[in-house]
Amino acid sequence: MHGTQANVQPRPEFGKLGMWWFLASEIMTFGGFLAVYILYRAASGGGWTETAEHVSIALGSINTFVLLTSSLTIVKSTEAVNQGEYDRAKNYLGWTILLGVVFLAIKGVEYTSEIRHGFTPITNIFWNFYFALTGLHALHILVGIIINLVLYIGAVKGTLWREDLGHRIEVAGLYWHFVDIVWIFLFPLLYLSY
Amino acid sequence: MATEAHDHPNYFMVWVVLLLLLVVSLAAAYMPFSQTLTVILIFVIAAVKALLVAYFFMHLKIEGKLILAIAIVPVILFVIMTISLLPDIVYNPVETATQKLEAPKSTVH
Amino acid sequence: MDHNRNTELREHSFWRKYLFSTDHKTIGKQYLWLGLIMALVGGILAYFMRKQLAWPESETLTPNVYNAFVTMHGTIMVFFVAMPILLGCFGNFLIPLMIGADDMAFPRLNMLSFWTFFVGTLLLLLSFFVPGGAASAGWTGYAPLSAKPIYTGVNWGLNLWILSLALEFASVLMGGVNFMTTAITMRAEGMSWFRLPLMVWMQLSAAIIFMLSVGPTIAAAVLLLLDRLVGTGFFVPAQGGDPLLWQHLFWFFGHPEVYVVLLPGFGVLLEILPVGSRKPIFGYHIIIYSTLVAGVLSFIVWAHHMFVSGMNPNLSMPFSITTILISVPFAIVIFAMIATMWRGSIRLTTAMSFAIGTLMTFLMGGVTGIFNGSAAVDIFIHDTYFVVAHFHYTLFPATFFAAFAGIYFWFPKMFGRMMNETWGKVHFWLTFVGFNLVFLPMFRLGMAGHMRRLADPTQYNFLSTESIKSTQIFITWAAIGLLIGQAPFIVNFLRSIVAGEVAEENPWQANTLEWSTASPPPHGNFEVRPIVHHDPYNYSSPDADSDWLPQDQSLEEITT
Repeated sequence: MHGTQANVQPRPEFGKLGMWWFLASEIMTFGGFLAVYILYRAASGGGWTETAEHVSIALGSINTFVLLTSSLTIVKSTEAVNQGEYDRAKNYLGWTILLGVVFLAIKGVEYTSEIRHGFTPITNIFWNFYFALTGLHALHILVGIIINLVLYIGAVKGTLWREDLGHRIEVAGLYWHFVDIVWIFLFPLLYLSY
Repeated sequence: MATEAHDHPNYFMVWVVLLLLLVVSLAAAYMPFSQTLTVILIFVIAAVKALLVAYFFMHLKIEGKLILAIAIVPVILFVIMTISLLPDIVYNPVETATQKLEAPKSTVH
Repeated sequence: MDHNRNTELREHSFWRKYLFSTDHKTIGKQYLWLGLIMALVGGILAYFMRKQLAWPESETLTPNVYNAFVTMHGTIMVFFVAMPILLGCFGNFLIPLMIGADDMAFPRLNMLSFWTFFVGTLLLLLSFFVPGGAASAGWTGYAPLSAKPIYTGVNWGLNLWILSLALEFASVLMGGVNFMTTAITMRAEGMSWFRLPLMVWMQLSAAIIFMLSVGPTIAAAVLLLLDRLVGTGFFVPAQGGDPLLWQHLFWFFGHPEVYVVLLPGFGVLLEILPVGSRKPIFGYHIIIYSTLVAGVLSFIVWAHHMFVSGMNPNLSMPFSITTILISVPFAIVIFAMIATMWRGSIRLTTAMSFAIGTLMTFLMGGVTGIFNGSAAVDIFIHDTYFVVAHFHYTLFPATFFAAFAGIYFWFPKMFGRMMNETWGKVHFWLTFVGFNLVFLPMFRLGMAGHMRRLADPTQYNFLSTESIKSTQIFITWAAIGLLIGQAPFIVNFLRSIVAGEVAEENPWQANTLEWSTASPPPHGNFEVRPIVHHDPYNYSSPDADSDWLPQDQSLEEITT
């Protein structure tokens, strides 16, 4: 094409920019959920404490540890891509996926136990929130796992590196870190502050 | 561009700090502080953790002003929105529905 | 690696070329077809509503059905007519062309956004045919009416309504990511920010406003769906919920949303008025700054929809102040538009007529917004026809007049042919006169206390007077006229696509980059990537021979 494209930036920057725009809208969405929770909680005058004590702080803490670690592994994967160490990048990505699955498994254990003890999504307004908020978060984790899995498969087959698409791990990482940050706030909101 | 040649922060150290903060927040929850102090403490710690993830893991440390703006503006907007709603949902003098809890419906224990 | 992604001359099948295309121009036209068809649906709904209101004894619509029609008319017009035509069509079609790019930054995401929108549209239309009928809790879906099926008698109709809106939101968000990334990263050489056509500024502002405001409403919609499907009580008082919170979360988005719809409409005007006046835009920078200020303010006015809702009365004054304040930047933009035409050499094409018509009617709508924005006045006119008249005097020009202006203006570029100007003028006058005859009397009805969303007004004595009844009948006849008046447009539009006079590259002698390439542009838009030399509004420049000066032609080129 004739005529230089002075403003055109390389395509990796497109992906990051696009992802940040998406994350901005997600901040507002999860912010909406959190606002509802915070406002109702503030208006409840401490009435939720008794029922809220039935969440498992132990399991929640482990899950927080799991997600924080998975954030480490995916950013290490990005670092490896930048250093041209594709095998290491692939492995770190694999760990991220694994940790995500562990998170969901623990969440499943929590849900099962809570429901068995009679605390369902419709028990009362606290449990409405607990299941809705953690459920939506878990859905986001699932989507993140799928995205990472697609990239992982590309890394295993080698197509990710051959077509110079390794920067996609960084973009996927941005999404993953965001979901981690949501949990960083959900954990104290739902587990610790009672 | 920026992604190729920047000084990598020590991601491992950041992770260690994050875990330490997790332990501190757990400790704070079990301390005999007042409810208000506990909540404030826990949220400050959570905010610091979030900032660490955003600044180091999400590379906000090295990104340009545009991406910084995209990241920060929604957060500010969220805070403004929540604060604006406090007078109406929490401190509304008009008698509206309460967010008080009903007794849990009888369920199998 | 920097190949032009769209000029690869692959032989595409019919499906790849017309349906599953990643070309922004095709996607833009797909949005246009969708929006126009849905406009017909929305108009037909309005016809039945008007027939019921003028002759309630005919029982054209039972109250439940009337509520459903009111709800769907509003939802369709705002989300499935205004958004696809103004943002989906004009935004997608024009942004890459106006900045000198070959396509959007993410063409496949663009295609996904259209098909997501399409599925959302199908779900909404489907909701008419499920047991219980379509959603009937108003386009605003207030809780607790909307929170439990038993309150409205509508079950899957409302669930589908929520789902279709969720898809629509997702589609526009995807589109917004494309708009922003494209405009930031793919501008042609020389196209600095302050050489961008105002349409691009308006589309970007709209995309940002939407992107920042829709989140809380998505959250609320999910919670509402959980209330309906799972039995939670987020908005149900008996279970500890607060219905007022639904209103807050809805309007936090709902208000910025009307500016999301308005700004592209302004964009259309800001492109057509200079061309039709052969004059530069008056106050290019002021318009941009005013728009940004209005955009920021739009986030802190929402509770003016809730003055009488039972919210904390202390909130009324701050929101009144911000609401009245927001009229200032918009007034500045309107004045700038008028000043653009002042002492210009007016070329009164159909597009220009619709543009001027938009200006006039929107001005009236905006002024009546100030009445509504004052809490003390709003106590009397809230939920009356005064409000209905106000928002039709703002939304109708922004959505329909501006859309028609844009269609008549960019039709040659989109389809390579000209629309018939004579029939265009007929269409304009029928629409302009018809619209005013329908909605002007509604101000009077509102002042008389006539409530809205009322299937049978005659159940109240004070609404059964001869004066009120004859006004309702008058409005209905005017509405029928307005609907029939769209026939010339439909025929003109369809006929011109196949048999209109073949269009040249630049039939309106305009400056922006889309007019510097073929009509319609080829795949990849420009044979040679343009280089921009100056701003887009150099009309009647004393330094040039002709009264227009395309952005990609430098002064030296034509004067030497």
